[in-house]
Amino acid sequence: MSEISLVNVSKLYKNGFYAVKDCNVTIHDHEFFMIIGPSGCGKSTTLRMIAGLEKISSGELYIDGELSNMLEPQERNLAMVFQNYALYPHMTVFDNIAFSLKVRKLPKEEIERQVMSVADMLGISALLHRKPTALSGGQRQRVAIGSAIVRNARAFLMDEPLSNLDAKLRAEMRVELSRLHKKLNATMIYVTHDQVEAMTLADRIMVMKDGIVQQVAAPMELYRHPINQFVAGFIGSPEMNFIPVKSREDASGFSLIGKNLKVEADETIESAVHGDSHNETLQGNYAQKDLILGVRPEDFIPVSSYQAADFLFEPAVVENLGNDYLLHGYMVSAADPFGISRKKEKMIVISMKRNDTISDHDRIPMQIVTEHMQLFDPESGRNLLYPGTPADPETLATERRQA
Amino acid sequence: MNHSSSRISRIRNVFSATEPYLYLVPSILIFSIFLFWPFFKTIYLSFYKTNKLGQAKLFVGIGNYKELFQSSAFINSLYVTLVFVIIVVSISMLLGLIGAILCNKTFPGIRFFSTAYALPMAIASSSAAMIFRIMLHPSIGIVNKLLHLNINWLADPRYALVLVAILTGWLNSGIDFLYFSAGLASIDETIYERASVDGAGPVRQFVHLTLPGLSPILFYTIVVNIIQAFQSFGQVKILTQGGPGDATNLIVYSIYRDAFFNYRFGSAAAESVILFVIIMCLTLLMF
Repeated sequence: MSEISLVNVSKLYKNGFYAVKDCNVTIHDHEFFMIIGPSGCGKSTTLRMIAGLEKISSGELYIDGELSNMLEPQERNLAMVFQNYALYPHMTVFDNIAFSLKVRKLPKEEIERQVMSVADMLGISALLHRKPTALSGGQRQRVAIGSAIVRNARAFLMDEPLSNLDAKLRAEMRVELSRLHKKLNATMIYVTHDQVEAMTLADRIMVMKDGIVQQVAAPMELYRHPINQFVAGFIGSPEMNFIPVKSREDASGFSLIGKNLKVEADETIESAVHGDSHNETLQGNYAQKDLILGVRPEDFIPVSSYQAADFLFEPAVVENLGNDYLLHGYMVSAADPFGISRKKEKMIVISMKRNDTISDHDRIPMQIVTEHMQLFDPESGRNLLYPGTPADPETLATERRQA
Repeated sequence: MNHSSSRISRIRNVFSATEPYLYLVPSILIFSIFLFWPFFKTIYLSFYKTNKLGQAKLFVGIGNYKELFQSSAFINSLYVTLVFVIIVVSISMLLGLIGAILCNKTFPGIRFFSTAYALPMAIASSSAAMIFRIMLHPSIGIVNKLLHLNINWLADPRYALVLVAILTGWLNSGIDFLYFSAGLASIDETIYERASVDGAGPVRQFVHLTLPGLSPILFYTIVVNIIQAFQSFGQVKILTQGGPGDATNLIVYSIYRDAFFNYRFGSAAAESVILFVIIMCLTLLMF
């Protein structure tokens, strides 16, 4: 097993388009590392550059400390699972799994032993004599994974391996992959656009957008401390609510004011807004400026009185998910409970547990959990409350390149 | 009332049952005139001695066939045809396959190369033969000039058959290039990517992925090529007229000579039937 490092790795196409720009990351030994981002963000390109299927335009790739830019895919000793499984159509399942071992000219008995062991592990022993066309999607998936894990590769690369499966099978395979990673204790680099997969499987996640790495962190770190509005919106389902606000300081203290919202802010938020936070790179003073308040759907608490509420919530649509339910609706000012001067805003979504007690009112008094809320600069998208260095990823990349 | 409606529905039933056959009538008619009639006429003639106008005059049963199999010229013709077919099929398939593999990747100028490889398909065998004849001319031909040789290529029995076969192979390679290109395009590109990550080099990828992927089209191409090679005529007619000696006297040219030079239509018909049986057997064997 191995450690893989990308240093300022870029992929530049002839038309001047950067598919990946200055990617810097180290994937540790035994780590389950996820690359996530929307379509066209460069995640698959990054994986293919690691595999050797795409040439690296600039930067360095180290596998186990060895500079590997110029190594052919055959020489990297990595294994890969492709999105469309890439099974050899004319070979049986046995031959598909055995192919990489035959290439390495292992003795016949050894090949048979290893293939049988992998087939047992994945529950496909009964399918060994079938051709890929005679397999279901889930079975093909297992064969593709079996073909990758059958040999002792330095790392396993997976390019959206579950995206062609239906929801139920995907959930099953997620568990299977997690189990497999624990069992093999292997370095895995996994590309997906499904943030549920990323959150449930990964040790660390790298979020990409437009070829640029936005943030690399553990799943809960990403969830609770997103570096910018893009990461905050991309991670989490349903998406984080983004509410336009301004800061205000009056006799009652420091607060954030939206069209229909007033949140009493704590010291951390106040210092972030005034630009004297622990954030070294945060130099601007955001007082009186437009800001975006980010609140996750589960970070709302129904309260019993109007006085304690930050706003009133008027549900428009209720989605029943069984144990939870999602309320989609509008915010109404707590100071104007009858909504005479109600100002229309974008709908927000609130997640409630089945046993949450909600008053019978049409409008539910709500409070925001200030501890978990985020505050974004609407222009740069930076998170003012990010505990690390919320510099613009592109600026950071440029700085690194200059260094 | 009931009686007339049942009659109408009966007529309708008869019409709907016969309608499909009516559509087949024009093509059957054309096939009958230009294919089935000459075919059966050939079989009929092969059992007769004919006059100079090709009219059957004397029934000889399998006499024509007996004579052919006792004739050293015909046996030579069969042997020459066999060697010719082997060379033609090997060259055309190899050229077609190499061209298709080279043009399977996108690169600047691919359209030019694709057109160049497919071009032989569009050239008539007689025009190609004329060009070849000039190229192989002993005194002004480019081949002798480039190689600094002075060989009368087409008059030398050692080279004549091979050269006619090379020309035919090149002519047939255009359509093979097209077949193989279509075959290669249908192979999923990601299996090559997986194979290279799995550690397989280009040769192993070709043997284990490309060839099996092409196998259905490969088989079809072999059959078509063999049939085409057996039926080659134009290039022999223009380049060598079956000579020198009988070195390039392919079976189709031999049929032509027997029928239109020697006016032995019965014998030529018997040769045609033998050629038909050979091609049919080979095709059945391969299917």
